[in-house]
Amino acid sequence: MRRWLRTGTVVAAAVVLGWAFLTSPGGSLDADVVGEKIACPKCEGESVAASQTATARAMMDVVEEQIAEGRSEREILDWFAARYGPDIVLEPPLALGGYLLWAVPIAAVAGGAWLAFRTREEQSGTAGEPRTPTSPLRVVLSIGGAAIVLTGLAFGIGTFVEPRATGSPVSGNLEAPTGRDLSEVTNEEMEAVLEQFDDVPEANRMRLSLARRYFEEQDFGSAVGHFQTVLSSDPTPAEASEALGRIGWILFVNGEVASSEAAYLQALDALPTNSEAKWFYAILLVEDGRSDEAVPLLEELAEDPTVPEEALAEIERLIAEAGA
Amino acid sequence: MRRWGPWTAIALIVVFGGFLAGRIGFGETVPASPLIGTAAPGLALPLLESEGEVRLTDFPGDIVVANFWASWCTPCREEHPAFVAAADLYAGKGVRFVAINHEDPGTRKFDFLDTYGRSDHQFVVEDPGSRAGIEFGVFGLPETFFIDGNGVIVGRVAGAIDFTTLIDFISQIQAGEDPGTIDGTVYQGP
Repeated sequence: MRRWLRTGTVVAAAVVLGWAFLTSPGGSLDADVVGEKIACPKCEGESVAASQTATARAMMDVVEEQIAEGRSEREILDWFAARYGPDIVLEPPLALGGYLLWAVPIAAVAGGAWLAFRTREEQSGTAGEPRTPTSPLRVVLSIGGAAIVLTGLAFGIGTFVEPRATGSPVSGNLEAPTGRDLSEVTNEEMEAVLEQFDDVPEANRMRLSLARRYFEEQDFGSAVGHFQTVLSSDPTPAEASEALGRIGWILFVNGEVASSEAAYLQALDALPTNSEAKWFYAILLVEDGRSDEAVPLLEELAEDPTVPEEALAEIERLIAEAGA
Repeated sequence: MRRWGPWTAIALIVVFGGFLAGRIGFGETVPASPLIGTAAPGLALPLLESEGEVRLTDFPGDIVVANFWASWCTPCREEHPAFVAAADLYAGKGVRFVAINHEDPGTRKFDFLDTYGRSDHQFVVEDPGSRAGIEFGVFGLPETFFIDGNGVIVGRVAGAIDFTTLIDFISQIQAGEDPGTIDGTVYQGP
């Protein structure tokens, strides 16, 4: 019975191992997958795939070029390591240290199993019963079995575990991101920092955050300047679209309907999925008496899963108003 | 065996724990550059304020001092006058100064040069797409690389460099010595 159990365990481990290897990713390289393995050199706790800094975006361009040239993932990671040092790679190849990480726990389990056998042997000896010698082959098989089961579990469990969320803490390579949450920083503090960094893309996140506050407080005079600076600071499509959409709204409430419409169209051109810009634009169209253009846009919004539940009632109300 | 067992276990835990602790640490110190002793990249860098371009490999036999800077980098303001003075000092004496403006969109870089100086003997170039920064494994600003007459990177200073250190590095390279590296604090951006 025990032999069958042991054989079954070993076979199960082998199946798990084989399955883990067979289902491991392969085939053509994805730039984002490679980028997730390269640390952003100018930010903490982020890969170049996740970071929006200029350096990270430039490094992703290099990754894409090298993939197009037919380089393997290892070659690309080595290329960056040759310039930034080995710590730039978030998944370094198994060096001596890496092998130790695997070997020590396995050795510990194997050693424990051996000690257990020894203790059992000594106990049976001290009880005055005839001592049953443990065959060396049995010891080797047991230790080997334990090592295979442990390795199989390690690989098998790995295939079920969700990848670490970007920016979340991780032990072993980068520290968790530190610093204050932008929501805790006062408007005055942000203004003091941003004063030094006109036209700097890295400041766009903070600048947009401040502009949003002003916008929500309806301090449009303060908001519009920051939105314009974002637009002149090499923004991402999402940043540009948000800034243009909100500038459009500010123009609209100031009666500049034509300019507002132009801003909305640019916002949607930069990011066609910007539901806020669609919503603002739909309001303009309804107010301008262009219901035939407004209704399709509103219907599109009503089916957009990213639109919050509470906004749906307002959208339905506007559809009814436009149809009336 | 029993007497030594617990001690062996403790020793193993200490060794393995120390090993793990060593792997977990990742401080803010700029790591040593693996580029020391390798050939300088030869990418073309457009001149910032005039037509044309410069490659760091354009000056065989000369020492090249390549300094990464930006207008938003506070320590760059401290060190920039040292580069301007050194460029004038070494004019025609086999040392070239290339100031690489890195990740600095907008017009503040021109105000920076107006304020902290220009030299007719210094090449001020752009870094399109941050390619030079990536080729040199730049972690932040300022960083300065020293390239010998054979086109080999022989030194790096991370952080602001003062005039004395700059002259000292150049003198060592002229004497055929490797000046090595200074791994100081760099500014990673706003």
